[in-house]
Amino acid sequence: MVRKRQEKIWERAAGMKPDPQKKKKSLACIEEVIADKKIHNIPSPAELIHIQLQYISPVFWLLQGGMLLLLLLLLYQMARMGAELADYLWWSSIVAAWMGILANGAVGRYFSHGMAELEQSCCINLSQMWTIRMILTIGVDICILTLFSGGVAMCTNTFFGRIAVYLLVPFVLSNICCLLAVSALRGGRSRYTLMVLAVLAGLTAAAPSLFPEIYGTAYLWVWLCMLVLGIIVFAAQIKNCYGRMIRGEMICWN
Amino acid sequence: MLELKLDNVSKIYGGHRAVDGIEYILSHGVYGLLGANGAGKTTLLRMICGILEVTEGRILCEGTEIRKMGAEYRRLLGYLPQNFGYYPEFTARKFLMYLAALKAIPKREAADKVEELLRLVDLEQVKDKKVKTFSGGMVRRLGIAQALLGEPEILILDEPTAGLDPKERIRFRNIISALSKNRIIILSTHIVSDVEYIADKILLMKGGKLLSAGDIEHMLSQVRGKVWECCIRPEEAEAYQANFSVSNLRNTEQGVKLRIVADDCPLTDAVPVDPDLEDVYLYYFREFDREPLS
Repeated sequence: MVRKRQEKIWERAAGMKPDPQKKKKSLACIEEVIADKKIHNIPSPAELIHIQLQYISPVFWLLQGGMLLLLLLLLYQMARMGAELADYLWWSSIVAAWMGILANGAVGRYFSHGMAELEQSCCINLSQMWTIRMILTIGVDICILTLFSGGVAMCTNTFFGRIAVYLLVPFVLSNICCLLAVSALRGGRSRYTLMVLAVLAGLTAAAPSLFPEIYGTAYLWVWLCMLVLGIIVFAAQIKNCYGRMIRGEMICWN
Repeated sequence: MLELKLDNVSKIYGGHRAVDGIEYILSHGVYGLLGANGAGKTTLLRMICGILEVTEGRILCEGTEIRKMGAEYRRLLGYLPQNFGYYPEFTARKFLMYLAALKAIPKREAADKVEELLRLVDLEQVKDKKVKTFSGGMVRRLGIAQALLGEPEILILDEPTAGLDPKERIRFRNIISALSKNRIIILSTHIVSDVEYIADKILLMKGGKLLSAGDIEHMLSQVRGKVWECCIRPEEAEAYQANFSVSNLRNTEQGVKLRIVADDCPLTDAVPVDPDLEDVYLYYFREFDREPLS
Protein backbone atom coordinates (compact mmCIF):
# COMPACT_ATOMS: atom_id res chain seq x y z
CA MET A 1 0.00 0.00 0.00
CA VAL A 2 2.70 2.43 1.11
CA ARG A 3 4.87 1.36 -1.78
CA LYS A 4 2.11 2.06 -4.28
CA ARG A 5 1.64 5.54 -2.84
CA GLN A 6 5.35 6.19 -3.04
CA GLU A 7 5.40 5.08 -6.66
CA LYS A 8 2.53 7.46 -7.46
CA ILE A 9 4.39 10.34 -5.80
CA TRP A 10 7.50 9.59 -7.83
CA GLU A 11 5.45 9.40 -11.02
CA ARG A 12 3.92 12.78 -10.32
CA ALA A 13 7.28 14.26 -9.30
CA ALA A 14 8.84 13.14 -12.59
CA GLY A 15 6.54 15.47 -14.45
CA MET A 16 7.30 18.43 -12.18
CA LYS A 17 10.06 20.92 -12.73
CA PRO A 18 11.28 22.97 -9.76
CA ASP A 19 11.31 26.70 -10.13
CA PRO A 20 15.01 27.50 -10.73
CA GLN A 21 14.79 30.75 -8.75
CA LYS A 22 13.20 29.07 -5.75
CA LYS A 23 15.68 26.20 -5.96
CA LYS A 24 18.59 28.64 -6.00
CA LYS A 25 17.15 30.53 -3.06
CA SER A 26 16.61 27.35 -1.06
CA LEU A 27 20.15 26.15 -1.77
CA ALA A 28 21.56 29.52 -0.74
CA CYS A 29 19.62 29.30 2.53
CA ILE A 30 20.95 25.79 3.17
CA GLU A 31 24.51 26.89 2.40
CA GLU A 32 24.17 29.82 4.78
CA VAL A 33 22.98 27.58 7.60
CA ILE A 34 25.84 25.14 6.93
CA ALA A 35 28.39 27.97 6.90
CA ASP A 36 27.07 29.32 10.21
CA LYS A 37 27.06 25.91 11.82
CA LYS A 38 30.07 25.41 14.04
CA ILE A 39 31.27 21.87 14.35
CA HIS A 40 32.76 21.27 17.75
CA ASN A 41 35.14 18.58 18.69
CA ILE A 42 34.28 16.96 22.01
CA PRO A 43 37.32 15.04 23.21
CA SER A 44 36.70 11.61 24.67
CA PRO A 45 38.21 10.67 28.06
CA ALA A 46 40.85 8.67 26.16
CA GLU A 47 41.78 11.78 24.15
CA LEU A 48 41.99 13.82 27.36
CA ILE A 49 44.39 11.28 28.85
CA HIS A 50 46.37 11.33 25.61
CA ILE A 51 46.66 15.14 25.78
CA GLN A 52 47.90 14.87 29.33
CA LEU A 53 50.41 12.15 28.55
CA GLN A 54 51.71 14.14 25.60
CA TYR A 55 52.47 17.23 27.63
CA ILE A 56 53.72 15.77 30.92
CA SER A 57 57.24 17.00 31.51
CA PRO A 58 60.01 14.48 30.65
CA VAL A 59 61.57 15.22 34.06
CA PHE A 60 58.47 13.76 35.70
CA TRP A 61 58.79 10.52 33.73
CA LEU A 62 62.52 10.33 34.51
CA LEU A 63 61.90 10.78 38.23
CA GLN A 64 59.01 8.33 38.18
CA GLY A 65 61.16 5.81 36.33
CA GLY A 66 63.92 6.43 38.85
CA MET A 67 61.56 5.58 41.72
CA LEU A 68 60.49 2.36 40.04
CA LEU A 69 64.10 1.39 39.38
CA LEU A 70 65.01 2.17 42.97
CA LEU A 71 62.25 -0.09 44.27
CA LEU A 72 63.25 -2.91 41.91
CA LEU A 73 66.90 -2.64 42.94
CA LEU A 74 65.85 -2.55 46.58
CA LEU A 75 63.75 -5.67 46.19
CA TYR A 76 66.56 -7.51 44.39
CA GLN A 77 69.28 -6.49 46.84
CA MET A 78 67.24 -7.14 49.98
CA ALA A 79 66.08 -10.52 48.69
CA ARG A 80 69.71 -11.47 48.01
CA MET A 81 70.70 -10.44 51.52
CA GLY A 82 67.74 -12.29 53.04
CA ALA A 83 66.64 -9.08 54.79
CA GLU A 84 63.93 -8.81 57.45
CA LEU A 85 60.57 -7.07 56.81
CA ALA A 86 61.65 -3.94 58.73
CA ASP A 87 64.68 -3.56 56.47
CA TYR A 88 62.51 -3.65 53.37
CA LEU A 89 60.11 -1.14 54.89
CA TRP A 90 62.87 1.24 56.00
CA TRP A 91 63.89 2.08 52.44
CA SER A 92 60.64 1.52 50.64
CA SER A 93 58.74 3.84 53.03
CA ILE A 94 61.16 6.63 52.07
CA VAL A 95 60.59 5.96 48.37
CA ALA A 96 56.79 5.81 48.94
CA ALA A 97 56.93 9.24 50.62
CA TRP A 98 58.97 10.65 47.73
CA MET A 99 56.45 9.27 45.28
CA GLY A 100 53.70 11.20 47.04
CA ILE A 101 55.71 14.41 46.80
CA LEU A 102 56.49 13.79 43.15
CA ALA A 103 52.86 13.09 42.26
CA ASN A 104 51.57 16.31 43.82
CA GLY A 105 54.57 18.31 42.75
CA ALA A 106 53.71 17.42 39.16
CA VAL A 107 50.13 18.51 39.72
CA GLY A 108 51.35 21.73 41.32
CA ARG A 109 53.15 22.50 38.08
CA TYR A 110 49.88 23.89 36.75
CA PHE A 111 50.05 26.70 39.25
CA SER A 112 53.76 27.38 39.19
CA HIS A 113 54.16 29.22 35.90
CA GLY A 114 51.12 31.48 35.94
CA MET A 115 49.36 29.13 33.55
CA ALA A 116 46.45 28.27 35.81
CA GLU A 117 44.38 31.33 34.89
CA LEU A 118 44.78 30.70 31.20
CA GLU A 119 44.10 26.97 31.46
CA GLN A 120 40.99 27.55 33.54
CA SER A 121 39.53 29.65 30.70
CA CYS A 122 39.98 26.86 28.13
CA CYS A 123 37.34 24.41 26.98
CA ILE A 124 39.11 21.59 28.78
CA ASN A 125 39.79 23.53 31.92
CA LEU A 126 42.18 23.26 34.82
CA SER A 127 39.85 21.29 37.07
CA GLN A 128 39.46 18.61 34.39
CA MET A 129 43.19 18.49 33.66
CA TRP A 130 43.93 18.34 37.36
CA THR A 131 41.57 15.40 37.84
CA ILE A 132 43.13 13.45 34.99
CA ARG A 133 46.65 14.19 36.17
CA MET A 134 45.79 13.19 39.74
CA ILE A 135 44.25 9.92 38.61
CA LEU A 136 47.18 9.20 36.31
CA THR A 137 50.02 9.95 38.70
CA ILE A 138 48.49 8.63 41.91
CA GLY A 139 47.10 5.60 40.08
CA VAL A 140 50.51 4.72 38.63
CA ASP A 141 52.13 5.15 42.06
CA ILE A 142 49.58 2.94 43.78
CA CYS A 143 50.11 0.26 41.13
CA ILE A 144 53.88 0.40 41.62
CA LEU A 145 53.58 0.26 45.42
CA THR A 146 51.08 -2.61 45.24
CA LEU A 147 53.34 -4.63 42.96
CA PHE A 148 56.31 -3.92 45.21
CA SER A 149 54.26 -5.02 48.23
CA GLY A 150 53.56 -8.27 46.41
CA GLY A 151 57.29 -8.76 45.84
CA VAL A 152 58.13 -8.09 49.48
CA ALA A 153 55.29 -10.38 50.61
CA MET A 154 56.78 -13.21 48.60
CA CYS A 155 60.31 -12.61 49.90
CA THR A 156 59.29 -12.29 53.58
CA ASN A 157 56.33 -14.67 53.69
CA THR A 158 54.13 -11.88 54.98
CA PHE A 159 50.54 -11.14 53.99
CA PHE A 160 50.64 -8.79 51.00
CA GLY A 161 47.83 -6.54 52.29
CA ARG A 162 49.79 -5.81 55.47
CA ILE A 163 52.80 -4.57 53.55
CA ALA A 164 50.60 -2.52 51.24
CA VAL A 165 49.13 -0.76 54.30
CA TYR A 166 52.62 -0.02 55.71
CA LEU A 167 53.68 1.54 52.40
CA LEU A 168 50.49 3.39 51.61
CA VAL A 169 50.56 5.26 54.93
CA PRO A 170 53.73 7.29 54.15
CA PHE A 171 52.53 7.67 50.56
CA VAL A 172 49.16 9.14 51.56
CA LEU A 173 50.64 11.33 54.30
CA SER A 174 53.26 12.81 51.97
CA ASN A 175 50.49 13.45 49.43
CA ILE A 176 48.60 15.41 52.07
CA CYS A 177 51.64 17.51 53.03
CA CYS A 178 52.59 18.23 49.45
CA LEU A 179 49.07 19.12 48.36
CA LEU A 180 48.82 21.45 51.33
CA ALA A 181 52.05 23.20 50.32
CA VAL A 182 51.08 23.37 46.66
CA SER A 183 47.56 24.65 47.26
CA ALA A 184 48.00 26.95 50.22
CA LEU A 185 51.45 28.48 49.90
CA ARG A 186 52.52 30.76 47.10
CA GLY A 187 56.09 29.47 47.32
CA GLY A 188 54.87 25.93 47.88
CA ARG A 189 55.08 25.19 44.18
CA SER A 190 58.74 25.96 43.85
CA ARG A 191 61.26 23.23 43.20
CA TYR A 192 63.13 24.08 46.40
CA THR A 193 60.08 23.80 48.62
CA LEU A 194 59.33 20.42 47.09
CA MET A 195 62.91 19.28 47.70
CA VAL A 196 62.73 20.34 51.35
CA LEU A 197 59.39 18.54 51.64
CA ALA A 198 60.88 15.41 50.08
CA VAL A 199 63.72 15.37 52.63
CA LEU A 200 61.36 15.90 55.56
CA ALA A 201 58.84 13.35 54.30
CA GLY A 202 61.63 10.81 53.72
CA LEU A 203 62.99 11.28 57.26
CA THR A 204 59.51 11.00 58.78
CA ALA A 205 58.71 7.89 56.75
CA ALA A 206 61.96 6.23 57.84
CA ALA A 207 61.42 7.01 61.55
CA PRO A 208 59.09 4.04 62.37
CA SER A 209 61.80 1.63 61.21
CA LEU A 210 63.83 2.66 64.26
CA PHE A 211 61.20 0.79 66.27
CA PRO A 212 60.72 -2.46 64.30
CA GLU A 213 58.06 -3.72 66.74
CA ILE A 214 55.72 -1.08 65.25
CA TYR A 215 55.48 -3.29 62.17
CA GLY A 216 54.18 -6.19 64.29
CA THR A 217 50.64 -7.49 63.84
CA ALA A 218 49.70 -5.99 67.22
CA TYR A 219 50.01 -2.51 65.79
CA LEU A 220 48.40 -3.22 62.43
CA TRP A 221 45.14 -1.60 63.52
CA VAL A 222 47.04 1.66 64.19
CA TRP A 223 48.43 1.60 60.65
CA LEU A 224 45.00 0.85 59.25
CA CYS A 225 43.46 3.71 61.20
CA MET A 226 46.19 6.07 59.96
CA LEU A 227 45.59 4.98 56.39
CA VAL A 228 41.83 5.44 56.56
CA LEU A 229 42.22 8.78 58.31
CA GLY A 230 44.83 9.85 55.76
CA ILE A 231 42.57 8.94 52.85
CA ILE A 232 39.67 10.89 54.42
CA VAL A 233 41.86 13.96 54.97
CA PHE A 234 43.28 13.73 51.45
CA ALA A 235 39.80 13.41 49.93
CA ALA A 236 38.64 16.44 51.95
CA GLN A 237 41.71 18.37 50.77
CA ILE A 238 40.98 17.55 47.14
CA LYS A 239 37.34 18.60 47.55
CA ASN A 240 38.48 21.86 49.10
CA CYS A 241 40.93 22.45 46.24
CA TYR A 242 38.20 21.92 43.66
CA GLY A 243 35.95 24.39 45.44
CA ARG A 244 38.73 26.98 45.57
CA MET A 245 39.59 26.35 41.94
CA ILE A 246 35.99 26.81 40.80
CA ARG A 247 35.64 29.99 42.86
CA GLY A 248 38.96 31.18 41.46
CA GLU A 249 40.64 31.57 44.84
CA MET A 250 43.35 29.04 44.02
CA ILE A 251 43.98 30.55 40.60
CA CYS A 252 43.82 34.31 41.00
CA TRP A 253 46.42 35.08 43.66
CA ASN A 254 46.54 38.81 43.02
CA MET B 1 24.04 38.56 17.52
CA LEU B 2 25.95 37.36 20.56
CA GLU B 3 25.09 39.24 23.71
CA LEU B 4 26.84 39.30 27.05
CA LYS B 5 24.94 40.86 29.91
CA LEU B 6 26.54 42.04 33.14
CA ASP B 7 23.69 42.10 35.58
CA ASN B 8 24.63 44.04 38.73
CA VAL B 9 27.97 42.22 38.94
CA SER B 10 30.01 42.64 42.13
CA LYS B 11 33.07 41.02 43.60
CA ILE B 12 33.69 41.43 47.30
CA TYR B 13 36.97 40.48 49.01
CA GLY B 14 36.48 40.61 52.74
CA GLY B 15 34.66 43.89 53.07
CA HIS B 16 36.25 45.47 49.99
CA ARG B 17 34.21 45.79 46.80
CA ALA B 18 36.73 45.22 44.02
CA VAL B 19 33.91 45.38 41.47
CA ASP B 20 30.76 47.16 42.49
CA GLY B 21 27.39 46.56 40.86
CA ILE B 22 28.29 46.75 37.18
CA GLU B 23 25.38 46.74 34.76
CA TYR B 24 26.14 46.64 31.07
CA ILE B 25 25.26 44.77 27.90
CA LEU B 26 28.01 43.90 25.45
CA SER B 27 27.30 42.93 21.87
CA HIS B 28 29.54 42.73 18.80
CA GLY B 29 32.35 45.25 18.69
CA VAL B 30 35.54 46.34 20.38
CA TYR B 31 35.19 47.57 23.95
CA GLY B 32 38.01 49.49 25.57
CA LEU B 33 38.00 49.05 29.33
CA LEU B 34 39.91 52.00 30.74
CA GLY B 35 40.86 52.60 34.31
CA ALA B 36 43.76 53.23 36.63
CA ASN B 37 45.58 50.37 38.33
CA GLY B 38 43.34 48.86 40.98
CA ALA B 39 40.14 50.06 39.31
CA GLY B 40 38.82 46.49 39.16
CA LYS B 41 39.39 45.87 35.45
CA THR B 42 41.22 42.56 35.85
CA THR B 43 38.72 41.30 38.42
CA LEU B 44 35.84 42.13 36.09
CA LEU B 45 37.53 40.40 33.15
CA ARG B 46 38.24 37.33 35.26
CA MET B 47 34.59 37.15 36.18
CA ILE B 48 33.56 37.52 32.54
CA CYS B 49 35.90 34.63 31.73
CA GLY B 50 34.29 32.53 34.46
CA ILE B 51 37.61 32.13 36.27
CA LEU B 52 36.50 34.09 39.29
CA GLU B 53 33.16 33.59 40.96
CA VAL B 54 30.78 36.53 41.01
CA THR B 55 29.87 37.52 44.59
CA GLU B 56 26.68 39.35 43.64
CA GLY B 57 24.77 39.57 40.37
CA ARG B 58 25.01 37.45 37.25
CA ILE B 59 26.80 37.31 33.93
CA LEU B 60 24.56 36.07 31.14
CA CYS B 61 25.54 34.92 27.69
CA GLU B 62 22.56 34.86 25.37
CA GLY B 63 20.36 34.86 28.46
CA THR B 64 22.04 31.88 30.15
CA GLU B 65 24.27 32.24 33.18
CA ILE B 66 27.85 31.53 32.15
CA ARG B 67 28.50 29.27 35.15
CA LYS B 68 25.70 27.00 33.96
CA MET B 69 27.02 26.96 30.40
CA GLY B 70 30.41 25.59 31.49
CA ALA B 71 32.51 24.28 28.59
CA GLU B 72 29.97 25.54 26.08
CA TYR B 73 30.78 29.09 27.21
CA ARG B 74 34.52 28.51 27.50
CA ARG B 75 34.48 27.34 23.89
CA LEU B 76 33.47 30.86 22.89
CA LEU B 77 36.31 32.43 24.84
CA GLY B 78 39.76 33.63 23.96
CA TYR B 79 41.62 35.10 26.92
CA LEU B 80 44.93 36.81 27.46
CA PRO B 81 45.53 37.23 31.20
CA GLN B 82 47.43 40.18 32.56
CA ASN B 83 50.03 37.89 34.12
CA PHE B 84 50.43 35.66 31.13
CA GLY B 85 52.40 32.57 32.10
CA TYR B 86 53.94 29.82 30.04
CA TYR B 87 55.78 26.58 30.51
CA PRO B 88 59.36 27.71 29.95
CA GLU B 89 60.54 24.44 28.42
CA PHE B 90 57.86 24.54 25.71
CA THR B 91 58.66 25.92 22.27
CA ALA B 92 56.29 28.55 20.84
CA ARG B 93 54.74 25.96 18.53
CA LYS B 94 54.37 23.33 21.25
CA PHE B 95 52.83 25.91 23.55
CA LEU B 96 50.20 26.84 20.99
CA MET B 97 49.55 23.19 20.14
CA TYR B 98 49.05 22.50 23.85
CA LEU B 99 46.52 25.29 24.20
CA ALA B 100 44.83 24.21 20.99
CA ALA B 101 44.42 20.78 22.57
CA LEU B 102 42.89 22.39 25.68
CA LYS B 103 40.56 24.35 23.41
CA ALA B 104 39.49 21.03 21.88
CA ILE B 105 40.67 21.94 18.40
CA PRO B 106 41.32 18.78 16.34
CA LYS B 107 45.04 18.18 15.92
CA ARG B 108 45.27 18.58 12.12
CA GLU B 109 43.21 21.76 12.16
CA ALA B 110 45.26 23.02 15.10
CA ALA B 111 48.57 22.52 13.29
CA ASP B 112 47.45 24.75 10.40
CA LYS B 113 45.93 27.35 12.70
CA VAL B 114 49.07 27.49 14.86
CA GLU B 115 51.25 28.14 11.81
CA GLU B 116 48.86 30.86 10.66
CA LEU B 117 48.83 32.56 14.05
CA LEU B 118 52.60 32.37 14.42
CA ARG B 119 52.84 34.18 11.08
CA LEU B 120 50.25 36.72 12.19
CA VAL B 121 52.16 37.69 15.32
CA ASP B 122 55.52 37.50 13.56
CA LEU B 123 56.90 34.59 15.56
CA GLU B 124 57.25 32.15 12.68
CA GLN B 125 61.03 32.39 12.63
CA VAL B 126 61.31 31.46 16.29
CA LYS B 127 58.52 28.88 16.50
CA ASP B 128 60.90 26.10 17.49
CA LYS B 129 62.71 28.13 20.12
CA LYS B 130 61.89 27.70 23.79
CA VAL B 131 59.57 30.35 25.17
CA LYS B 132 61.97 31.01 28.06
CA THR B 133 64.41 32.54 25.55
CA PHE B 134 61.79 35.06 24.33
CA SER B 135 61.78 38.77 25.10
CA GLY B 136 58.80 40.31 26.96
CA GLY B 137 57.30 41.59 23.71
CA MET B 138 57.61 38.17 22.05
CA VAL B 139 55.93 36.48 25.01
CA ARG B 140 53.10 39.00 24.80
CA ARG B 141 52.70 38.31 21.08
CA LEU B 142 52.59 34.61 21.82
CA GLY B 143 49.87 35.39 24.35
CA ILE B 144 47.89 37.24 21.72
CA ALA B 145 48.27 34.30 19.34
CA GLN B 146 46.99 31.81 21.89
CA ALA B 147 43.98 34.01 22.64
CA LEU B 148 43.04 33.88 18.97
CA LEU B 149 43.14 30.08 18.80
CA GLY B 150 39.79 28.55 17.99
CA GLU B 151 38.40 31.77 16.52
CA PRO B 152 36.74 32.87 19.75
CA GLU B 153 33.52 34.84 19.62
CA ILE B 154 34.39 36.56 22.87
CA LEU B 155 37.95 37.82 23.01
CA ILE B 156 39.16 39.18 26.34
CA LEU B 157 42.55 40.82 26.43
CA ASP B 158 43.92 42.14 29.71
CA GLU B 159 46.68 44.67 29.13
CA PRO B 160 47.54 43.15 25.75
CA THR B 161 50.04 45.79 24.74
CA ALA B 162 52.16 45.74 27.90
CA GLY B 163 55.75 45.27 26.79
CA LEU B 164 55.10 45.82 23.10
CA ASP B 165 57.14 48.39 21.19
CA PRO B 166 55.33 51.05 19.07
CA LYS B 167 55.58 48.99 15.88
CA GLU B 168 54.20 45.91 17.61
CA ARG B 169 51.43 48.04 19.13
CA ILE B 170 50.33 49.22 15.71
CA ARG B 171 50.47 45.67 14.40
CA PHE B 172 48.36 44.52 17.34
CA ARG B 173 45.81 47.28 16.74
CA ASN B 174 45.50 46.24 13.12
CA ILE B 175 45.01 42.59 14.08
CA ILE B 176 42.24 43.50 16.51
CA SER B 177 40.55 45.81 14.00
CA ALA B 178 40.57 43.03 11.43
CA LEU B 179 39.06 40.62 13.94
CA SER B 180 36.40 42.90 15.31
CA LYS B 181 33.60 41.75 12.99
CA ASN B 182 31.04 39.42 14.59
CA ARG B 183 32.91 39.26 17.87
CA ILE B 184 32.89 40.78 21.30
CA ILE B 185 36.38 42.05 22.00
CA ILE B 186 37.16 43.53 25.41
CA LEU B 187 40.48 45.28 25.77
CA SER B 188 41.56 46.34 29.20
CA THR B 189 44.27 48.92 29.48
CA HIS B 190 45.35 52.09 31.15
CA ILE B 191 47.02 53.28 27.97
CA VAL B 192 44.45 55.44 26.24
CA SER B 193 46.04 55.36 22.79
CA ASP B 194 45.67 51.56 22.71
CA VAL B 195 41.93 51.83 22.42
CA GLU B 196 41.44 55.28 20.93
CA TYR B 197 41.63 54.11 17.33
CA ILE B 198 40.03 50.71 17.51
CA ALA B 199 37.40 50.70 20.26
CA ASP B 200 33.77 51.11 19.30
CA LYS B 201 32.81 51.70 22.91
CA ILE B 202 34.75 52.91 25.90
CA LEU B 203 34.04 51.76 29.44
CA LEU B 204 35.59 53.84 32.19
CA MET B 205 36.10 52.10 35.53
CA LYS B 206 37.09 53.58 38.83
CA GLY B 207 36.97 52.11 42.33
CA GLY B 208 35.19 49.02 41.01
CA LYS B 209 32.39 51.08 39.49
CA LEU B 210 31.54 51.82 35.90
CA LEU B 211 31.90 55.60 35.69
CA SER B 212 30.87 56.08 32.12
CA ALA B 213 30.32 54.09 28.96
CA GLY B 214 29.67 54.96 25.37
CA ASP B 215 31.24 55.44 21.98
CA ILE B 216 34.23 57.71 21.56
CA GLU B 217 32.14 60.61 20.28
CA HIS B 218 29.89 60.35 23.33
CA MET B 219 32.91 60.33 25.64
CA LEU B 220 34.48 63.30 23.89
CA SER B 221 31.23 65.24 24.04
CA GLN B 222 31.32 64.95 27.82
CA VAL B 223 34.49 67.02 28.05
CA ARG B 224 33.94 69.27 25.08
CA GLY B 225 34.46 72.84 26.25
CA LYS B 226 36.47 71.63 29.20
CA VAL B 227 39.87 71.34 27.52
CA TRP B 228 41.94 74.48 27.25
CA GLU B 229 45.27 75.54 25.89
CA CYS B 230 47.26 78.44 27.18
CA CYS B 231 50.78 79.77 27.23
CA ILE B 232 52.42 80.69 30.51
CA ARG B 233 55.83 81.72 31.81
CA PRO B 234 58.16 78.78 32.65
CA GLU B 235 58.29 79.71 36.36
CA GLU B 236 54.48 79.43 36.59
CA ALA B 237 54.36 75.90 35.19
CA GLU B 238 54.78 74.13 38.50
CA ALA B 239 51.97 76.06 40.16
CA TYR B 240 49.63 75.34 37.27
CA GLN B 241 50.45 71.66 37.38
CA ALA B 242 49.67 71.59 41.08
CA ASN B 243 46.32 73.32 40.65
CA PHE B 244 44.99 71.99 37.37
CA SER B 245 44.73 68.71 35.52
CA VAL B 246 47.42 69.25 32.92
CA SER B 247 47.19 66.76 30.10
CA ASN B 248 50.16 68.12 28.19
CA LEU B 249 53.03 70.50 28.76
CA ARG B 250 55.37 71.70 26.03
CA ASN B 251 58.21 74.20 26.10
CA THR B 252 58.01 76.66 23.23
CA GLU B 253 59.80 79.88 22.35
CA GLN B 254 56.85 81.89 23.65
CA GLY B 255 56.84 80.08 26.98
CA VAL B 256 55.29 76.88 28.30
CA LYS B 257 52.25 75.68 26.41
CA LEU B 258 49.79 73.89 28.65
CA ARG B 259 46.80 71.74 27.84
CA ILE B 260 44.45 71.87 30.79
CA VAL B 261 41.34 69.88 31.54
CA ALA B 262 39.03 71.99 33.68
CA ASP B 263 35.35 72.82 33.92
CA ASP B 264 36.01 76.55 33.86
CA CYS B 265 38.47 78.63 31.89
CA PRO B 266 41.70 78.42 33.88
CA LEU B 267 43.25 81.62 32.50
CA THR B 268 41.85 84.65 30.72
CA ASP B 269 43.82 83.99 27.54
CA ALA B 270 43.20 80.23 27.55
CA VAL B 271 41.42 78.98 24.43
CA PRO B 272 39.11 75.96 24.28
CA VAL B 273 40.38 73.13 22.09
CA ASP B 274 39.01 69.83 20.79
CA PRO B 275 39.32 67.10 23.40
CA ASP B 276 40.86 63.70 22.82
CA LEU B 277 40.39 60.48 24.77
CA GLU B 278 43.33 61.23 27.03
CA ASP B 279 41.57 64.38 28.14
CA VAL B 280 38.45 62.35 28.89
CA TYR B 281 40.52 59.93 30.94
CA LEU B 282 42.18 62.75 32.82
CA TYR B 283 38.87 64.50 33.38
CA TYR B 284 37.33 61.46 34.99
CA PHE B 285 40.34 60.28 36.89
CA ARG B 286 41.39 63.63 38.30
CA GLU B 287 38.06 65.31 38.71
CA PHE B 288 36.98 63.00 41.49
CA ASP B 289 40.30 63.11 43.34
CA ARG B 290 40.51 66.82 43.60
CA GLU B 291 38.43 69.61 44.98
CA PRO B 292 37.43 72.05 42.26
CA LEU B 293 39.51 75.23 42.25
CA SER B 294 37.85 78.48 42.94
